[in-house]
Amino acid sequence: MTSTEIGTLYKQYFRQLCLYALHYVGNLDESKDIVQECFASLIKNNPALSNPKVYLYNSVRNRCIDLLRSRKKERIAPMDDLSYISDEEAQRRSEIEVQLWEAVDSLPPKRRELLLLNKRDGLKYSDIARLKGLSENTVRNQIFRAIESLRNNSKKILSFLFCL
Amino acid sequence: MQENMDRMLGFVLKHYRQDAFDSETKAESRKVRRFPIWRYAATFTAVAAAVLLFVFLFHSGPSVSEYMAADSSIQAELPDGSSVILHPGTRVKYSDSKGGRNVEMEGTALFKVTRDESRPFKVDAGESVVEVLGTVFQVKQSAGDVYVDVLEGKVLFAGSEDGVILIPGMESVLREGASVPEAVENAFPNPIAWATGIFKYEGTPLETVLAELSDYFGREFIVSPDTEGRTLTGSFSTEDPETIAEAISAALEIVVSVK
Repeated sequence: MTSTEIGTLYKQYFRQLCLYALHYVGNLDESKDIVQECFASLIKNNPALSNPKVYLYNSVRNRCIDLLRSRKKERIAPMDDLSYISDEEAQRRSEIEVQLWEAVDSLPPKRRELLLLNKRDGLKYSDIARLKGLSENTVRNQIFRAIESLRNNSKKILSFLFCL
Repeated sequence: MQENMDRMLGFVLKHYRQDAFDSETKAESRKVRRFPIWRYAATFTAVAAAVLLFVFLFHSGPSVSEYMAADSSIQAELPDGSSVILHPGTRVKYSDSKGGRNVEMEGTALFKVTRDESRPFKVDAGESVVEVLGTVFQVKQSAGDVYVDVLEGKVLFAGSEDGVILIPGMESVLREGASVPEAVENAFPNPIAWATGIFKYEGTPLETVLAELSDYFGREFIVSPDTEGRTLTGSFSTEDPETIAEAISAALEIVVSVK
């Protein structure tokens, strides 16, 4: 493969591979490292590939499992926040999650901040209201609207996938 | 299906970081890579021009650049596209050859290194060598000791005998006279606040927060009694200790004052 071809693969798959790795290792920085190492070894060894996507997913998975084993983790299966999921499921989800991630990127910044304080950092509406000097109602409304627009977005993603 | 979608959304939100992928999607244009952390430091760039005392460029042999910060922090872009923020009183010398990138330094500096597998980035500080496998880290010399903090990526930190690989959130120190670095607990959650102007806390015990702020501002943050076990989540981007004290007071419904 030429470096331009590898560059195209990088652009196309980097984010979703990171999200896939995230289901295994649970840490974004480590996930990014793993995916970058995979691309580095792809550049170095330049194997002949019939299906680069399958190759990349396999090599990311192997590195994730190596990392979990090296930490003597009991668990080597991927998971989301609630439970274990299958490897196929993690692959499938990573392709959708990358679009959800971009949808969060494109939320209005203030609204996104309130949403993350609540969903990611686990702050109560009342705490966010006090922290930001807003009324609790405003906080609730803004978060509700953020979730609504993400849900609408996800419906579009779903219908897009069904069309394929 | 919708339930699954909500779980995926929950997963994304749990791990979401703004600009987490910025550098990667623009990976080809290395020279103009910008990182969120530097954005906060933008205020320092204006000062940078004024305080950048000298930059020597030798055109024969390996190129050498030298930077020094006098009374305030400065940010500089290295010839390879990496960036560095220098703490006041810090000197950094960068040289560049086919085999690799080398920095000699005295003081405290925060580095953001562009990835180049073929040319490792090494930092010499006193008796230690820091070799970079990944991206953002800080090197701090304090008395004879050298401290290294990693914020992103991986860093190999070596004394004269052996080294350790550091990952984000880890701090390690090479004591004066020692040949192997040892891991230390991060004394405070925001070791690079001096460069970013940001204090960020996630469920941090209130006493740790106040100790860090007291240390940083050189003023004493005092709290009304009965706050044992309280924690703080949130971030401040102000340089004004009184404003921070007010924000914490309001958030936790307690009284924090600054002496």
